[in-house]
Amino acid sequence: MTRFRRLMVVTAVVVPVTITGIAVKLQAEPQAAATVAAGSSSSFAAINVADRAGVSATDTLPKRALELMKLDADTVRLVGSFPSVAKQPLRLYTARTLKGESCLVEDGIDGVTPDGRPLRVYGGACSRDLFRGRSVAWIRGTSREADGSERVRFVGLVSPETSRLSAVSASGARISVPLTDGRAFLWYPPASSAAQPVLLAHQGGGAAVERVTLP
Amino acid sequence: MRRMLVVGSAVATFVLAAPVAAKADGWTCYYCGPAWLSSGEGHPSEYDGCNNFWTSNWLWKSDTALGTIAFIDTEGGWVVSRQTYEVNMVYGVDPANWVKKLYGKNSSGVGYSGEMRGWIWYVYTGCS
Repeated sequence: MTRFRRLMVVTAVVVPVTITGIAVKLQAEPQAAATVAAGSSSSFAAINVADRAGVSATDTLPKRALELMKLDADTVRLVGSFPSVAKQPLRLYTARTLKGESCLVEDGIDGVTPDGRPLRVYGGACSRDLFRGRSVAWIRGTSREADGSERVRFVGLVSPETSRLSAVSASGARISVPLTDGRAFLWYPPASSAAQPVLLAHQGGGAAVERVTLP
Repeated sequence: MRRMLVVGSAVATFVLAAPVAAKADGWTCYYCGPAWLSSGEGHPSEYDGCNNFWTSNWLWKSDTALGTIAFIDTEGGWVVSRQTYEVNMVYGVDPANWVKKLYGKNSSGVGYSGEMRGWIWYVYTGCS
């Protein structure tokens, strides 16, 4: 057998065997994933941000959120952890992307899937400047609850100059919206109100310096 | 003999490699751009399912103006949505193995350029 023929024989055997091995390996992954599909939600890897100031050991952000938003892990800061009807609290973070954008990042169980499983929602919104000269950066969220109803809520962050946040009720009364030590908030506007939700940002102990009309 | 070996090797490579290549996870634009979005203009993706599921929804826009993203079920109901002024919005859901489509919308009173993308996750469910 010539050298060329020996080379071709080896190629004809080795290449398909190698590719078959890769194909079998990759086919095996979907089968493993099918177990996930049939069962509960997939497991989450999380980064531990406990070594960063003011953050406890349980404060984690899903690695998937970091990858999805292309966040710089060193810039992740927990700014709010809010009680939730689910076992897991809704957490709000600030972070910067690898491109330098500022982000509000949230993670938590938020409603249910159409077949009734608790739905974890993670991600956020980024800009060069979250505030752009304003007092409040916010994200409006809706989710479907187990009884089929829709729940609306706002999460956000107030600027360093803002000391207090209040909401205006349908009757015109002002209701305090608590801020965390990280200047974050979670607010559920009254479901019964037909009026557009309004937040008021205050500086010091004084009157509102900005009126934020929300969608 | 030489020709048979070459052809056989090439066919084996193609037949075995092609299905593998078709099952990769990744981003797909369902409104490719940057493209102009007029005030109130929205675009849905195709519905997922049958081994391929949307896990994430991403809206990029050129302006700090209101935008909306949503995950929508087979009856057209919004399971989850988010709305904000920020330039980039990207959200994921877990679990993702339920039939849905993605949606993005310019909810502001001005037009801007934008792009909408979703992350497809391949998971074998036995569906064909």
